[in-house]
Amino acid sequence: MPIIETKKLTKRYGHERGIVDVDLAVEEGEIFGFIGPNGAGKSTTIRTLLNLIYPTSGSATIFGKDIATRGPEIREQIGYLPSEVFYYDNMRAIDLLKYSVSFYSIDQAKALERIHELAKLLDLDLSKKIDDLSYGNKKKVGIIQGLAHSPKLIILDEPTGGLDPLIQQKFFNLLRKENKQGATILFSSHILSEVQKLCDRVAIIKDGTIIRVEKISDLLEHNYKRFKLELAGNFNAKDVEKISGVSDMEVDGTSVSFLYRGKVNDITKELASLNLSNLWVEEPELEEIFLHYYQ
Amino acid sequence: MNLYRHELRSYRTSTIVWIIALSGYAVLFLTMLVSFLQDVAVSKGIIEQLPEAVRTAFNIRAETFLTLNGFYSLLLIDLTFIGAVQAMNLGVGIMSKEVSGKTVDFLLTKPITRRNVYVQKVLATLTIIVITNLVFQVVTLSSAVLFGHESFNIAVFVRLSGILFATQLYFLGIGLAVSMVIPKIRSVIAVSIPAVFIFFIVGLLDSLVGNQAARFLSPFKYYDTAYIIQHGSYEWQYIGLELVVVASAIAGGYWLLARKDIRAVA
Repeated sequence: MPIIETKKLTKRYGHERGIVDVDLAVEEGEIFGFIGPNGAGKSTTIRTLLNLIYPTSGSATIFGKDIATRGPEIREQIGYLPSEVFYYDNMRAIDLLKYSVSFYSIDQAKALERIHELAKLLDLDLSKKIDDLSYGNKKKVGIIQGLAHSPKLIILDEPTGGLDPLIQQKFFNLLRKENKQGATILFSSHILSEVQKLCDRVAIIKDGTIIRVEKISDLLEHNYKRFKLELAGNFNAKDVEKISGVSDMEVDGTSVSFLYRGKVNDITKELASLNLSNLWVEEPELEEIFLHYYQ
Repeated sequence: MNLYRHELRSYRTSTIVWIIALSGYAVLFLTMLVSFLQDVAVSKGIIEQLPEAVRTAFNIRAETFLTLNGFYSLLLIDLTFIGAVQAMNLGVGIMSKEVSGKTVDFLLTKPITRRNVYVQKVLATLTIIVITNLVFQVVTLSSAVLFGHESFNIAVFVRLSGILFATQLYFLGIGLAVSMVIPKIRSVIAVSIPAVFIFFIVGLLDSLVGNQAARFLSPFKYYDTAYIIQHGSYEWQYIGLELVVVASAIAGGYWLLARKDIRAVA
């Protein structure tokens, strides 16, 4: 039985599109990526699953329970971290977190212990007022708030914004640990590389519709990179263009830029014959991938 | 009841300020009555010099003004206005506070039904109003006993103070209704003060024009102090009307909240 299952889940805001016929199945114990450009419908899907908004049609279950009728019971086992966190400014972090866990029917003393554990790991001073915390530190409060009750399902909606790389690393390790201990994770993002780092499978959403669900391992094989070359001497653009997997090539004097799909090792062998003065390999914009791969 | 406790805690300071403002205002003016009474003839003269319209609008009569309950009736015009703002703030703030502070996501993703959120929040605001009025009753009654050097009807005095509670309850309901109708309220006070003021003006019109319909429209006129002093009781049809209005506002507020889409923070 999937942990999350949606059937033709649709949400319209009046005439505005939200999501259309979304079918998703997230299996127990997996880290499931949910990727798409901003405005594609990631948050709409997640907010519907959390009962913050109501579907126009279709249905969804979490833990096999209907979200429409058993929301509170389902949310007992969910940890949610939104992209932007807002809490009661006048409260101290510790009081906010105590308040947060007080909603769950769990051992409060144990939860408090875990709050302190997580705060230590993330290096967060719990005695400070929310208002006095930096954006990154508020985010840490958000992470602890999402994990303190040891949820079975963790839902993350673009959670990494505002986290410095070190904390992001710690956060990802934390998620992997939770996952090993049995938690299922739904991770939404518009940054392909972070989804690649963490997830087992990924659903790609565009204009409110799921256009593909893939294993990350498959996605990596069809890995797209943006290459930029700076050539030292004369060269024949056709030499580059004929390399298999190259597309969207642009030549500007001695610099060449193209999108490459395939194994990086293969193309570096081909490029070795060219007289390069510099080489950049970049993560392509998600939009570029959508344009070339998912047409 | 964790949410209920949280709400009470978050309103603690502001409630104390409101209680001090209301009680302090009442006590201050009740002490002034003592000096008015020292020279009855002069005081009467001042009242009679007031323009007719002002006397009608504020229901000032020389023969009752210089009694404790009569004087207190006049004070209640200001006190109910102040109290209405407090109650309206509470009512408007119930959900809009969470929306404008963007904490509504945090709250509604917890394992709690929207009904439970609403009930606990409404109960918390009702509690605040009850506490405000209990303190107000005790403070005003004790100062009336201390400063009023004539004997006065305590039962009537307590009922007069009760007008504050009735008015606050009404505006709590109005605040709730308004906050559900206006989708985005950035500042609670910017909504509540004008709203209270409009009801206040409507009430003044009732006195000036003697229009019965205006009286139904303004909760400030539901509880006529002259009637209470004369009969020792409220006019029950207005209590009934108020209960209907407040109950509808609370029920309507829930109906809307239960169906509302909480959209992402833009």
